[in-house]
Amino acid sequence: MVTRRDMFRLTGGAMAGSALLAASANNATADPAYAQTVDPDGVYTPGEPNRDYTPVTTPNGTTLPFRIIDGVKVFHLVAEPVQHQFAPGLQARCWGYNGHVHGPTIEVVEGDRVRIYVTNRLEAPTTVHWHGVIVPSGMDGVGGLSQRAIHKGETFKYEFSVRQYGTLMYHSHHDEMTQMGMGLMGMIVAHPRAPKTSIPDRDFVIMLSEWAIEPGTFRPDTNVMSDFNILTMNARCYPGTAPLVAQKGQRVRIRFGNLSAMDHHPIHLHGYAFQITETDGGSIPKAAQWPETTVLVPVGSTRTIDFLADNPGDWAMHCHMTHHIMNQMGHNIPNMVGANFSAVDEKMTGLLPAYMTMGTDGMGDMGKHVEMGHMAMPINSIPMVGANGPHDYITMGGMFTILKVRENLQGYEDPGWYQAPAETQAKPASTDELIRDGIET
Amino acid sequence: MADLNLKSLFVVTVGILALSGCSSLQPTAELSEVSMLVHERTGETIVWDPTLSPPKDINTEIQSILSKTLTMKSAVRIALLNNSGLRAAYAELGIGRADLVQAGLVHNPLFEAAVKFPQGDHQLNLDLGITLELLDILFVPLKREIADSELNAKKAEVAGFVIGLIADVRDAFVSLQAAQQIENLFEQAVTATAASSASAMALYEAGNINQLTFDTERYFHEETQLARREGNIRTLEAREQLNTLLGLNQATQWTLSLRLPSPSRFEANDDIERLALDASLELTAARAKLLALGATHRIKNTTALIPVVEAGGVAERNEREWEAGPSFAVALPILDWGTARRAKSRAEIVRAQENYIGLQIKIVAVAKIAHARLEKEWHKVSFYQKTALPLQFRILDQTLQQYNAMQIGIFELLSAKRKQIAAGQAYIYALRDFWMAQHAVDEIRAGRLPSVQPFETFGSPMVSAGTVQGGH
Repeated sequence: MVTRRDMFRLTGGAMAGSALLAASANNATADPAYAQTVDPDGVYTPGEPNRDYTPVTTPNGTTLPFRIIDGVKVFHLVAEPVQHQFAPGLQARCWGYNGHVHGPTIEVVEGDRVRIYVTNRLEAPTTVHWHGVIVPSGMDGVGGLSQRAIHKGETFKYEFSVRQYGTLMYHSHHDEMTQMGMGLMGMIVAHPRAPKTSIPDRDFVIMLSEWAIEPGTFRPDTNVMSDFNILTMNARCYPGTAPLVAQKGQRVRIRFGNLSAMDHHPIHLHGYAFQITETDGGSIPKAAQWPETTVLVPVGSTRTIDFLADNPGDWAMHCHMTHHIMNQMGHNIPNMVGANFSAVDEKMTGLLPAYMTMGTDGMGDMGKHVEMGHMAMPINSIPMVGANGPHDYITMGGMFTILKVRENLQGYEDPGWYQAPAETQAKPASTDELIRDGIET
Repeated sequence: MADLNLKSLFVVTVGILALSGCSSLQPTAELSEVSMLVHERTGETIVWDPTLSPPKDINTEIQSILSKTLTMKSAVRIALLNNSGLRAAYAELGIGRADLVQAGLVHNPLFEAAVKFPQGDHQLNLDLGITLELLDILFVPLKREIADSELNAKKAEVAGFVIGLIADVRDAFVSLQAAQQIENLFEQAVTATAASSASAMALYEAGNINQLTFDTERYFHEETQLARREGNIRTLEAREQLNTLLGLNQATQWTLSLRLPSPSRFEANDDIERLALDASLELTAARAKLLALGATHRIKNTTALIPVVEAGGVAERNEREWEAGPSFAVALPILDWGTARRAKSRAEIVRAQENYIGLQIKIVAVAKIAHARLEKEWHKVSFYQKTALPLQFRILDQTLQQYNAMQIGIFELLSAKRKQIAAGQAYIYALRDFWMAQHAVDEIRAGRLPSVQPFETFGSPMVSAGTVQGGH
């Protein structure tokens, strides 16, 4: 009988061996690129949360539960249709795992032996690919190449040992454009068995993705190539994104993965500079890390940033591509900015009484109009919708969330809006101030 | 004929003359028959006795009708009061009536007098003779039969004319209503393209669109204005058509109820062909004419045998004694046996019979087509009422929502508005065609084939939705 240990030797062990051989042949370093603190041939007891690792937080998401059977972590993913809400006022019939879009975060520890059952409750065949995870070829989940597709009603078993740590992903690798466009993806976090750096106090996981949902429809359009109009963090768009909450002084880690169809995302964090410490390929040596305020997360990649939460406040964190912080923006419209439409308004009164000229001074008021019900809107749509902030309307939507750092936290639920000390709050200049500083307006 | 004596000759003559003298030349009875028939079949009443001169207050009545908004009913009333063709048709009844009276008359008797101067002192010989065309008298009943049949034919024709006029007025009325509604929709369409053009102007002046886009929108606005002019002309034409039927002057001021009524139901009539045949006034007229031809033929048959029979009385005073006795003159059918005339009248009967059969076939066909056409128009109207217009309404509503959501621009919004207007126009044309088809069926059921065939297609100017400019 072939034992699990033998299996490991036959598969991972053999591969590692050949890699070593190849490396020797090239007279290069034997270290793999991926981050590793375990002996690839070693046998480890399954890592336990709060003992071997601090569990991650997936804002708006969840973590996939597991059972330990004979020393193997057993997971069960169920691919199925899910009615998913992107933000209040917008939902769609998507595909996800275990009732969630995107799928729950799979959390493992380096050295774990994992067995993942995948049940297909979709009408379409599917597979699951473990993106960035070093697995035996037959476990790679590429439809047609590494396995046959999992048909409706079937359950497949994937099993491999985790020999790396870092931020990884999983997604369907069958009919990719449709299935990923419908939401079949999730994050994998592999914690190091023997962390070389300090463990963060707050560890967030955010999957970036994009969708095409025409206002008034209830299904992502997976035929779209570039007209994506809903940009999400963990499949939610602002104001549907939950804030990232941290106490002042905590070490914060944010892990980004990007499985958008066509867009990289430069994620900018206000109020902080951070180090980019990991990619899905592995951890970046300290000496090679760059301080940044914006991390570019390319399609098919993960990036991990670490920083110390030392600056209290409500801090915007968003993709810096302006279209990506707009909800359901239409682009096939004339440029209205700066035009004088008074002559048109006159004619429209009798013709279409409900007509309102829009966009002549930009789109800033649009979301407010929508929310206040000034105009009839297509059902199930949130065009240009942002949210009411503490001072005014927040004109951003989409790939936008808020990092909330507070001096004193009771818990990690939303602490509400930050009250800036009066002397640190921007406000209208007084006449005295203008005169004093010689400012003419 | 041979035993006809002078006495009886005079009795007959005097009798006929007396009878003729009693016959009225006014077709009052005929008109009242026509009037009843028209009323029965159309619900409309012939409002004055056209054998009399027009009542003085006719203009007052017309003015009073015109001072209010004209309805289809009141338009028909004016036409029945004032249509000159109708008065001409009534005159036909007078002609027929006169013909009938004339048919009862014989040619005036010929009085002959001859004075003979005998040789010597003999007294003058005085020959007095009165001659009547004998057959004239004998044929009086037949001639009356002919004239009577012809008068019957005229009654049917005049009734048909009135029914036809009523249908024409109704058609012209809905045509004008339609033209006015189409015109109003053109006004809306022009406002829509004006708004597009103004938008393009505003965007162009702001530097947001190029000259090409601006010119394209402007061009489209100009085109729509041209189409509106087409619509204006149609209204003018329709108004003049109605004016003509109502016998009104172009300058006469009147307005008519704007909106075409929307029909609520359609009565299928499977028996339309039988009804059309039974009601046909053209068949009635043709039958009456056949009877007239038959009577004519009988006369010709007789006259072919005895072409001219003159009967007379001759009184001769001879040697102071009057001798009186009948005289006869007969043209002997030696050279002309009348064969050709008989053949001609027989052929005329055959022709009339064949035309009668042909008319029946035509009536059946026209009735069938008119009914099918009405059913088709009903479905079309229902389609616009139940499907097209509500959908267009919703489409515009949704388009406005998409505009509000800034998914589309004002040009697309206005294009949707123009599509809705175009659908409105298509509905108006459908309504007009439905009512005209209904009028045609009503006319057929009232006994008249439509003068304008209901299958005629009309040129229908419509709003074009155009292409959308100004996106990127």
